[in-house]
Amino acid sequence: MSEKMYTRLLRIYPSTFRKKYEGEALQLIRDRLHDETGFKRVCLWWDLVTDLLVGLPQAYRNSYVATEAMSLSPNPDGIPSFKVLDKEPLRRGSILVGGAVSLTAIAAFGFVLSRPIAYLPISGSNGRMSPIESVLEHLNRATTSDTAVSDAQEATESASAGALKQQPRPWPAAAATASKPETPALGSGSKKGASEQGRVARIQTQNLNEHSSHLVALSKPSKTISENIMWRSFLINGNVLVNGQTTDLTISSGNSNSLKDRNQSLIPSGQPQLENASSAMIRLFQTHDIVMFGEVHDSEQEYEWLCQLVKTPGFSDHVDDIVVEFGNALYQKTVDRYVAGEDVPFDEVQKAWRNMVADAEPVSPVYGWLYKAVREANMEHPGKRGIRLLMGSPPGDWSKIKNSADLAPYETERERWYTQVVKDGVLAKRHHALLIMGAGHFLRGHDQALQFELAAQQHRVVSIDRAHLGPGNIERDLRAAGAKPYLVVFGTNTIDNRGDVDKRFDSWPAPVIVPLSGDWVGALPAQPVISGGHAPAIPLTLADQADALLYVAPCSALQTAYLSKADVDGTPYGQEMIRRDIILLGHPVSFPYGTHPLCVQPQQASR
Amino acid sequence: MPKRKLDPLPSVAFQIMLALADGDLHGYAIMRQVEEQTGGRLRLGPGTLYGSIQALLEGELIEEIDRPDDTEAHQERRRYYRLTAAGRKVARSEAEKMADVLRVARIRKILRGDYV
Repeated sequence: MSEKMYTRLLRIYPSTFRKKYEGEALQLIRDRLHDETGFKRVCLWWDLVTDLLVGLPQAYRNSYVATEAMSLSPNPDGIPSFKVLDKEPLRRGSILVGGAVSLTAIAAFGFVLSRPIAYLPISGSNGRMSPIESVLEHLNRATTSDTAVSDAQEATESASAGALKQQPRPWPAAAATASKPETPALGSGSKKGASEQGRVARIQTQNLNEHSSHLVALSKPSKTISENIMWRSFLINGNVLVNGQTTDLTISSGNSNSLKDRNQSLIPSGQPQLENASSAMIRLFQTHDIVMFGEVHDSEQEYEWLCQLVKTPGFSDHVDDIVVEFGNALYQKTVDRYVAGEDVPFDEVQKAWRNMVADAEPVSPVYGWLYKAVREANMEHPGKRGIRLLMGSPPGDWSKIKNSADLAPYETERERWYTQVVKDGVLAKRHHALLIMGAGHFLRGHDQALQFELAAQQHRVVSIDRAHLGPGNIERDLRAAGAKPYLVVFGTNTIDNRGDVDKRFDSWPAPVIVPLSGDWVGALPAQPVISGGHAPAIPLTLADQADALLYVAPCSALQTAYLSKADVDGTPYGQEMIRRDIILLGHPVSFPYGTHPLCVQPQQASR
Repeated sequence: MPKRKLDPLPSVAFQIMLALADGDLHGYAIMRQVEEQTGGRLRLGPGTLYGSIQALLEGELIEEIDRPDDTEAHQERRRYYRLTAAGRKVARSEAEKMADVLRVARIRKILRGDYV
């Protein structure tokens, strides 16, 4: 029995070894089995195990040719030739096993290569990039389609080199090939949604019949944004949006059939899938580790909803961290203690948002509301791991910032800092996080080249290849680091007097989150919906720029909230803000106080 | 290739060469001899033993010889090995190195006089 086992064990030795020594090895085992009994027999098997570990490498190192007396002399005719040293052909089993192992290794290698490269912080690197990081950066730069962004990043890197030694190591620019994320349905729809679909269909048909011939003259049959936006604008409003104003396109007849066909392939006719905003947000974390929320600064109703969200039962079960733009990293420890429920003076905590590096106005109190809401949510569940607020603003110390040169390294690194905080504080820990930052930092297709083009065209409808639209810098970097983000932006019905769109918004059971893929909401011009009327219309749709829209109230109800005049005017904080304005802008500015309407109507904006 | 495998000389190979210094032996006898000369601390398994023997053969430090005439019938299948002149020289050189090491260890008072 033992001899049989050893015979099988010998199969892992080289065939040449077995051929030469198998008989003797078995004879040796037989001798030992014969001579050794009792405890020594047990030791024999132990010896064989250790022998396997020591002897097997030795057996494979030997060449088995030196003693074979095989001639390796060159061919007497001087003709190069091969000599087969192994006389024994490979066995089928060996070929099969070798082939299977090779295929498995190749498949595994291919799988690993196809995976996004997960971010893991490298400790002890002293800020220098590893060779792998360097190669990644090189490759990413080489494939970046948005040269303007890449150049701007490089300029930023060089400008800030050395000045931000305390900051996390800059991470290479993300792959430009990051694809636009899929947009999962947020809900199963509502009865109101169904009625809207019918209304949209009627409007589309009516508009097609009435205005088709004029559009033939305006649009070319290519799948560019200019065409799409014209069609969409026309179908939604019966008007074309140009520079925040509308141009009526009253057309009498002609060519309706071909236009109708083309329209059906271009216009999304789906109904918006409305879902309660809080439950939709929580559910998003079941499929995404990161939800990016592009906020409109200082919005009262927006932050009331955010405060309500963090206190919603179940939110803290799915979300570990909230990364905020309005939090200076210098105060991370203070904020940690505060949101954990410790007794921390509020004056100390509010330094976190009041001392952001880039704010030129007294900071809105809405940000403090969110800090307080997180603290209260955590204190409702003592002993449970609470939500952590991560400070996404660079650790600029205003007491040491005396001029714009002191400020520049922090200001130019804001997005990179924010991204690094997410990588270190969220992705590296495999957490789930809500990211809150001004929508301009998150929007897709918001690259400089496009903005320059829009400005040059005075934001008129221009022809832009949709394939060039990519994620923003932060989203792109996070995707390259292995994250699976989803982008929600705050918006409102700020296109008053342009058809019946406002009525449709009004019918929604706010607050709602609406996915933007494949429905008429996504086909709306991204601006001025997102900005609340401040920005001129652009040839980008909401679906181009985000995954979903948060709607909390009609434009007329939205307000921005500021500190009262008594809290600022003549106070040390007010004086400090004047000093910062001079550093930031070169001159003091007048501060807003109290509350103001958030939206600027298009007519007002154009004046 | 063989020289690289045996330089420095592995302790197992050296023990095998020492075992063969007194006369020709077959594999099992080499194993027993090594066990005896190391006080039972080293018992060579087949893989280690024949792997080392092969390396020594390739290095021409030992050689395979014809069966001695007085072997019994059941030993006919065994191979016998003999230390070559080169092997003896290498073994001597290795022993001298060890002797030097021993001498230094004794001077440094790491070893006492019990060790030769």
